[in-house]
Amino acid sequence: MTRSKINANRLSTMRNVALLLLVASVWIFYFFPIYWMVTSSLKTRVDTFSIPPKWIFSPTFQHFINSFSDPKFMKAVQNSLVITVTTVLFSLLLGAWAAYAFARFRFKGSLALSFSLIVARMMPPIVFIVPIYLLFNSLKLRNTHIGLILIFTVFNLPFTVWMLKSFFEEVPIELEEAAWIDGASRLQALTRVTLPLIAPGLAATAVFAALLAWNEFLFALLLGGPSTTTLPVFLSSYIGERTIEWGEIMATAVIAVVPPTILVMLVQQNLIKGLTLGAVKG
Amino acid sequence: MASVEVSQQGRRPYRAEQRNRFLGLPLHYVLIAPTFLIVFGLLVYPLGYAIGLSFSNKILTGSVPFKWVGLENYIDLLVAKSEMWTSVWVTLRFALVGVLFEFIIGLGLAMVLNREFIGRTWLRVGLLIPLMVPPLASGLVWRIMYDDEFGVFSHLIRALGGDPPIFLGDPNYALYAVVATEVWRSSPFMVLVLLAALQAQPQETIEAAEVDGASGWQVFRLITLPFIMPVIIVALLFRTVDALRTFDLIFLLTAGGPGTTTEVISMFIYRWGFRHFKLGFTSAASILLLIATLLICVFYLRMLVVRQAAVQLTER
Amino acid sequence: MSNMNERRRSSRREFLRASALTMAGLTAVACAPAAAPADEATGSQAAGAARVSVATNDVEAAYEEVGRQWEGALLRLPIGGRGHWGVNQKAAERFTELTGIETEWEDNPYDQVYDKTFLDLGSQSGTYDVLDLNFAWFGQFIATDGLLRLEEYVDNPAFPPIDLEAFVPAVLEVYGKWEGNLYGLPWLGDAMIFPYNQAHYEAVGLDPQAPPATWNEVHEFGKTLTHDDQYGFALMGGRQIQAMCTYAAIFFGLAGKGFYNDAGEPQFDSDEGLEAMEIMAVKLPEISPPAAISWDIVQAAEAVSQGTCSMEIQWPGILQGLIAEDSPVLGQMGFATPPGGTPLGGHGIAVSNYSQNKEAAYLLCHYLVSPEIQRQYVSEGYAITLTALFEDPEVQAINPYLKTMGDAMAIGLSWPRTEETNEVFDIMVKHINAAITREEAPDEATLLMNEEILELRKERGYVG
Repeated sequence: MTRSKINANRLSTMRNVALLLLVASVWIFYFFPIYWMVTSSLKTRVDTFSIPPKWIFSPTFQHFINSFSDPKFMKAVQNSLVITVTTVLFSLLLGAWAAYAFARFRFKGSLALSFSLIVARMMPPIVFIVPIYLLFNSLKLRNTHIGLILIFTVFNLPFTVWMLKSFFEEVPIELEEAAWIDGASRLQALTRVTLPLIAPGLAATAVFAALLAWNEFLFALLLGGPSTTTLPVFLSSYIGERTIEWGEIMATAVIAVVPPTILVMLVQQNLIKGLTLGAVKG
Repeated sequence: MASVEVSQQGRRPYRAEQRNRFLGLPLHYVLIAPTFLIVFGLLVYPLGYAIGLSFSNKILTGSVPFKWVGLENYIDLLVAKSEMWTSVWVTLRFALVGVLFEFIIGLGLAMVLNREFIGRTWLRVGLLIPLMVPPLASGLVWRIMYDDEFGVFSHLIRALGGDPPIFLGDPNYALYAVVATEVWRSSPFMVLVLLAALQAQPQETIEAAEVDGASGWQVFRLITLPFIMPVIIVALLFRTVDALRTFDLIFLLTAGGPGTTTEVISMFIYRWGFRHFKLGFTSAASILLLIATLLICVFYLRMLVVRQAAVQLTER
Repeated sequence: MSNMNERRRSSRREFLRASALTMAGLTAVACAPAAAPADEATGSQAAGAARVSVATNDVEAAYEEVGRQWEGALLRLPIGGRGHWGVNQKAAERFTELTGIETEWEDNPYDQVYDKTFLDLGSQSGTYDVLDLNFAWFGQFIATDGLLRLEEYVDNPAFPPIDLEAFVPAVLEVYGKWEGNLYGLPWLGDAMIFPYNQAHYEAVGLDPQAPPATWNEVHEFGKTLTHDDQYGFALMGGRQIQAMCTYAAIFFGLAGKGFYNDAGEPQFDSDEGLEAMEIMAVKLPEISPPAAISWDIVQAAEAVSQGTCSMEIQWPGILQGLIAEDSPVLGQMGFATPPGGTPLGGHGIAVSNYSQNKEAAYLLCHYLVSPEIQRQYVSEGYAITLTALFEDPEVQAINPYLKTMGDAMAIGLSWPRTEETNEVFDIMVKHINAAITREEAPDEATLLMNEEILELRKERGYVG
């Protein structure tokens, strides 16, 4: 009796140690590159490229000062925020309508239509640059915020629709029907009953949509211009013909991680709940 | 419940009819219209343009006169000695190995995170950080970390007495080095989605099985896995689609080298599209990639549909 | 929904603001003559001045006088930001003060500058007024019909005079002319040079004043210099354009001839071509760190400035690290021209055929290549294109490799400029990297490379 208890104790201690080791190695795998990025942003050029690599160094904030003192940097942050926020709102708004329709109506071709959306995500982006460039050119959408918001919304919609569709399916239709009986219109039932219930799902979807818009580079670069420079595009301008401003790139990247981190912190509770809710039916 | 029953009497058909229409149009079409207009409005023209050009010899900047060449581009691409086949195998290996590891790590981590332990919340939030870093920065950081002279990995391995390869320069390792970076960047998505699925699982079914004397493995295999299967399929689907067209990471880490060992299909397309400006040829390659991706997706979706049908059957 | 409206409203506001600005610009242009008398009335400047002048010398006054007629025009450039373009961007601020012509520089990463330029020229949308004419892309610029012929502007007495003979002759030919016609002004000079660590030379008993004269000497010296964690050479062996540049340097050094023979066929299957690949893929990796097979320009340059590698063949634009105050090799470096020959790099500056402001654009090009501005940006370590400036002791004092750069430009050979050049580069990079990483044997790689280039040139009609 006692022995098996001791064994059980030992087993659970071993389990805990194993778990601890596992969690520690997960942290190292995911955060070591981040750690290296942050330290690179604080190193001088000579320290960054020292052979062998330096673990201890005297930090410099020069790269951060350089980034912040560039007027284009604040402009880029502003552009990125405006474009990301609007893209997310657009994607959620349009995506929610479509997702609601797919979740609540049985109609001919609904399966095929929802699958066909994924095709939009399958297209290799490179080859579509040229025709989209021509299209945007004639629509005067190049180098405008609206243009980038449109194209990012297109990239986001397939994922948004699929995520939200599963959230809507989670909410029993009876709840809405009950509201209809009380005289609510479909819209009222949707906004007063269903949407509050899937709020966490909306938050989770918003986070993934925001990350896509925040980090998109190729289209932001080629379809954008001086008045739409987003953070990733600004970041890439540190690459010259013969030089790479390593420290400035790392410093700017560190700053670029801050807004999405704040967003995730804010919706953190909802995020996990939302994913939980939405994932059930995929 | 009672109210639902009431609703099924008399009034409902009329109301439902009214409710399901908007300005006389079926409501569901009205609801999906904006999404489809915007998505296909912006993509139909480019897609048509690409399909059209794929039958021509169009060069964006060349003085070669434009002409229609029929299936020539496709034939050039598909002949056995075409460079594309190298890229196809590289892409398949990249996507398969990458998505497989993402899945294994994703599922494993999701199981761990599904337990209670100190700092769990922080780990969940922190896992999103690799997704937040601008790809240019993470590409450069990984590139320098992999370097044999400047990089930490090689120096750590040497300090431990090992003999590290040239990660990005050795044809035997380069692809897997790139895959590791991709796994680092993309597995958090998998972790979070699978974690969510695990958390949605009703605790009672597991407890009931345990009472019946099922081992941990049996519970996982017979109860948990079937429950989260649909999520797994959709997560794999989205990750596979993205992996098949990965570009930025490869461009930053190896640009296709050493030799052609990491030249994925989108790198191939970039080279022919933007270094050679051969739009006709590039369009044909892209259409082929699109078709291949579609086929793979159909495979996933069939799995999904079969599963859903099975679930519906059992529910009845 | 309300949000959408708000967006629409705000975009309309933006549109209105933009049109207002355009109107203001137009009004400014329209009013310029009318405003002049008013200035005269209040002006307390030198007698007879039409307006308050900001010029501080005759040169500036000349630009001011000509440029004022396009006051308010906006010139767009697909380049800017940092490095040599950044220096020019700063110089253009003074141009705007003088002439009232605004400039808008777009900070594109180098790799995508030409992607954007050719998307613009290919679609004839006329976004850019002034173009960076990297001569490797010259044929493509010509093929898109995107460049403005400059002869009539150069000869036009209304513009400040420009002496084309003041430019390094080879560079004027390569950066500016196509089939005898002038399309660009020589702007940013560039040629690979050969930095070597004299302290390392001394330490192993080599003469620090005698850099290698042949590529085989580079290899021999390199073997002497390689010991423990020290390496003789820093090779740029990764699958990047720099691998092609290094191979071209070796090929030029050995063969002293261009890529193609008179019949237009590539001549890499010659003895020199095969030997160049042997040096590139076997001999240089022997004396370089193992990592060098994946290196690009930054890694190679940093390895030399860390003192880990002793020699490199390199573009001057990245060499500031060697002479920076905190450089570990400060004061140790010598600079030579590469053995036998060297490739030219560099850029002309040109006016887009689709520009709405061609005269103003030409004036900006003219301003940026003028001796006064070249003198400014040479201090930042970037190359120049005027012969006299290389000889100027004041300029030479600015940095120790400037003189070498001038010498290298004088002996530099250019790679082809025809429209398939970037495709040729792509083929070369692929096979050179394959040879370095042992995916292909050096001979095999050279012959495959030669064959593919020949096929391509046949397809394009350059070879009968």
